[in-house]
Parts: sequence; C-alpha cells; structure tokens
Amino acid sequence: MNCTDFERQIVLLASDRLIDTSFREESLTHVRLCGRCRNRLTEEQNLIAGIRAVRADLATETTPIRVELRLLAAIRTQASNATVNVGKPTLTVWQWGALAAVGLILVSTVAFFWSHSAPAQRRTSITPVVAPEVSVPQQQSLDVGPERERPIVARKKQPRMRRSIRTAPNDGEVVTEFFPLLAGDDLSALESVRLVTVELPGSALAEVGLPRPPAAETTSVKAEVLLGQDGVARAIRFVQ
Amino acid sequence: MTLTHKDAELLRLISTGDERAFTAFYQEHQANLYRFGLLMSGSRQIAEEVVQEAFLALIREPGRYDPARGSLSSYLYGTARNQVLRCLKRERVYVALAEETNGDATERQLISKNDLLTETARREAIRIVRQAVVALPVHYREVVVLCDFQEMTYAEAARVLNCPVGTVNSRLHRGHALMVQRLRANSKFTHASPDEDWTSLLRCFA
Repeated sequence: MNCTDFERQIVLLASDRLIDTSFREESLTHVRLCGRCRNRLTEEQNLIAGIRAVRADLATETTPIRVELRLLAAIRTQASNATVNVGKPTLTVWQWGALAAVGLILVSTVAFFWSHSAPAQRRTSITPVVAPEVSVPQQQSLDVGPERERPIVARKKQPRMRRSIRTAPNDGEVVTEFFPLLAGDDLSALESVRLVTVELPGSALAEVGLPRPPAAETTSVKAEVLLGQDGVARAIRFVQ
Repeated sequence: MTLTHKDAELLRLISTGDERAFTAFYQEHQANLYRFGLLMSGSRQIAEEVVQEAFLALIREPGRYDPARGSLSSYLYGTARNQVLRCLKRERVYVALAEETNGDATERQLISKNDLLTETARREAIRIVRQAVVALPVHYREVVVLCDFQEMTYAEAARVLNCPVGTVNSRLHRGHALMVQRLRANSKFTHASPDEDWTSLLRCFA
C-alpha cells in the first residue's frame, strides 16, 4: 500500500467504517511505517472526534415552538380557504380561455348577423321611392305564411329586429286589405316580409282607389307598408 | 428512510388540514431538518426559516412529492437544501466571514466576536469544528453535514443531493481534507493522540 491508497480510505479508516479487514490491516501496517500518514490519520481521527462531539451537542437542538405555531396557522388558513371554496369549482387558465373563446365566437356571430341585416334595415329608408311621403317610419318584422296573408299589427320600437306572427290588429284599430304596389306581384310567394308603419297624406287613399274623406285633404293617414326581404315595398294597407 | 405507510397516511391527512396528523409528522422530522439548516448556515435564524419553508411547501403542495423519486425524508431534505442555498445566497455574509478567517489569530478574533471565550473548553472545541464546517464550500459542506452529522449513507445523501454516490464519496473526502487543513491551524488538534478520549482532547484545547 502506498500513501495515495491510504489517503483514499482514510475517512472510513478513521471512523471505523472500513469493512475490508485485509485493507484495514494493510492500512495500519502502512501507518506504522509512514510518519506522514500516521499524522494524517491522527488529524482525521481528531476531526471525527470533533464531529461526534458536535453531533452530541446538537442532539438537543430543536426548532423553536413558534415555527410549529406558524405552520399550524398556515394549515388552518388553508383548511378554511378550502371550506370556502367547497361547491365553487375553480376554473383553470385553460377553462377561462375556452370560455373567453366561446364568448368571442358568440359576439362575432351576433355581429355578423347584425351586419347582414343592417343593409335591409337601411333599405327601409329607401322606401320613400315607393312611398315618397313616408314620415317617421316604425320598423316591424314578421313572417307571412306562404299560403295566406295574415293580419299584421305594428308594434312600438323594437331594440332588435324580431320576427313574429300577428293574427289581429291592435285593439281599436281597423285595417284595410293589402293593396299591391307592384303590378302582378304575388305576396304569398314572399318568404319573409317586414312591416313599416308610415303616415301619408290623405291623397294617397285616392291613388289606391279608396274613397277619400273630406278631412283627409289636410290631414295624414296612417298606413302600413309591406316590405319584401329585398327591402322593396310590395303592398300597403291603411289603418284607422 | 423509506416512505412508510404511516408517512403516506400522514401526508394524506395533512393535505386535508388535519392538525394532529401534521403535528405528529412535524415532530418526527423537524429536529433533523433544523440541525441540517443550522450546520449548513451556522445561523439559527436561517435554520428556523429552512424548517418553516420545507414544511410549508409540503402543506401547500403535498402533491409535489413523488414517492417514486425517493423517500419523504429525502424530499424534505432536498427542499430544505434548496432553501438553505437560497438563504446563503441572500446572506452571503455568513459564509464569507467564515471563509475569510485564516490562522490562529483570526480564529481567536472570530471566536471573540461571537462571544465564545467565556464558554468552556468543550464548547470552544465544538465551536471550532462548527466553524470549520461552515467555512467549507457549499458542495462539500452539504455532503459532510448529511454523511457525518445526519449519519446518512452515501446512497441516501446521493438521493438528497441528486448526484452519483461516487461524487458523494469524493466530496466527503475532500471536505474532510479541507476541514483538517483548517483545524491544523489550531495546533492543539494535531497533537492530540487518537487514543485519547474526548476529555483529554479538551485538555489539549485548554
């Protein structure tokens, strides 16, 4: 055995953990012959004695009680938070993201339909071409069955264009039949129509062949214009 | 140091907020972790913080412990070790003070600063050894603390430190050599006979 081999095993030798007995014997023989390694072993044994003394000294060291109290407080807080959250499933970041995406799609869809319906609404302002004396239009939208015309009643302002079927006019109102504004137009072929309430001069009655009351010369009459899905006025009826 | 059924059950109860379970678990492990932190840092304050943070991590995220990767004790030591390294980085003064000390005069000066001259000879010797431990570079120190002071096997220390067993062996050897060099500055250490018991060693220190 040389000094290098001895040095490799000195920790185990000094702490009596060198299991290999033959190697141990060789080491002790080397120590007897080599003064430098003998001193080295002494130093190592002193170090290990010091380590054991420190270990014994620290055996009574424990964490201050305040740490345990803080940790118990943390456990209580965590338990109470868990209780509060019972029945309230928390959403992960991915779930929040998915919800946001769905919301965005919904908003986009609504915006798409709104933008496509807006031109039809805008075309209602063109209706004066067909009925040039329209004043204060009130938009209505409703379905008219293909088989027969249904009496349609105007409603007050609608925040959004809604389709509905009315079978009778409002109470106290009398309406005439629809008079086609385009020759040969088949109203029953329309898939959807909108009704616009307008006020017209009394002379408009005469234009469709209706008797004109004397007072109608100076007053206006209420009428409902039926607009096709293309926004063109197709028919008119009068309301009294 | 393997995960027992008791540990697994305690962990489950702790995650549900069972205080008695936590207290039992804490009492079983806190002292070793505290001593580990104390020897690694030389500071009671840091050791206290290390214990607190290691257990807090377990309370808040018990799921982070994976039994397949090692025992619960190794996991706790690993967490404590990371916390010690963070603290030492933050309060580098501690290590710098110990590492800068060289020679007997400086050693006495340091002891004097720590107000240890009034202690008994045994306590003085213990203090010198502890200073030698703290003066070691961290990667040697943690091996010395785990193997010599916590009495872990090389394999257990290797799991805590996440390194090969051979690395633990070589670092321990090198750590001892550095400590001996440091203690050699105190001539009383080198002249003590290996056959003498601790009392005679204390006489040498006196």
